[in-house]
Amino acid sequence: QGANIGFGGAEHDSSLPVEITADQLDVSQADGRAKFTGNVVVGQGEMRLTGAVVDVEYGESATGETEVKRLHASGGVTLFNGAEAAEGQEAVYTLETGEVVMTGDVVLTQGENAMAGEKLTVNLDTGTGVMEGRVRVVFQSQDAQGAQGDGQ
Amino acid sequence: MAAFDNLHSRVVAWLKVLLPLMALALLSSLFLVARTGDNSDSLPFSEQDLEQMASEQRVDGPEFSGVTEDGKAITLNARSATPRDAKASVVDAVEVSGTMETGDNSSIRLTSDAGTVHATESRTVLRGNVHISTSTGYQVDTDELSAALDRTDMETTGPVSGTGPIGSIDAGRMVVTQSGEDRDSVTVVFKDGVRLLYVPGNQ
Repeated sequence: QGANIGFGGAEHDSSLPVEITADQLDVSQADGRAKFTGNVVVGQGEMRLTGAVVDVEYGESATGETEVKRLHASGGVTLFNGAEAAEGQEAVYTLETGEVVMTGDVVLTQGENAMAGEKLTVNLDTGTGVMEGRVRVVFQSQDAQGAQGDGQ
Repeated sequence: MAAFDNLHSRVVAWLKVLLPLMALALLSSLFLVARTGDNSDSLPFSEQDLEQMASEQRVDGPEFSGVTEDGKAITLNARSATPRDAKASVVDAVEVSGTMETGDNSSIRLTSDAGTVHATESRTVLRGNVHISTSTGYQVDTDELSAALDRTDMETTGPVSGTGPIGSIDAGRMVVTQSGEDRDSVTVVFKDGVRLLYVPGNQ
């Protein structure tokens, strides 16, 4: 019942370096989690993921090094990737698969068109996405854009 | 004693006299000769050093060690330390290095060019390319660090930069404290703006 959409060019590569900037970072060494708070921006290649709080979940990789598994962004999240932007309450970005799952009345804007739903699953590497849950699409038809243009 | 005609008996007779004499000589040399150990090696301090140490009560190679409230060892040592006053409640030290065990039985190692130990407040302030390395994989450099000596409570006064298990970190300030209900886990907080760079895979 979901709607398939394209999301960003396919040239995103989830093995690029990830840069996270925030006001504060709390690391509690017992449970291996790092919590960024205060206008957090996660950047990787073209992709920007912003949120109030981002929890970094890291663990041992196959080769035994410490690697980041997932980024849990919450508290009002926006995801930019090239021309598209998606907003929602929470998002989970799994680095290995390059997949972002955004939940909580998601609004996706692509140029003039907007789409709203409950859950948006985007694969950054392939540039495809699926919007699910009461999907509503708002098209700006060409003449309406023209009329709206000179109407204001 | 009958005169011995054959060689064997004569040799044995002589040996019976010579051998004990040699034994006696050897034994006595053990005590007489060995007496002359040379105990005149020079003192490890030069004259100038001695005057200076006497005049400013400088201590070379001091070591400060204490135990935190929950029984974790803290040791600090330096190349030299000079107490500021007679009570030695404030001691300035040069080339300080220290190890602090923490609740979750990992340890934090500190080194710096200089430091001041405030014994009454059981706190030390380290200055001059302070290097902090924790056994959990953090290597952080900063200019100045204030650390408590009776619990795990450290705070840098300026920016820090370094690497952690998940990548390189730069931040305005860093605070390391004990946390958890029985205070056995350690929380590291990077404040005043933090930037983490994580390179997946080829760490």
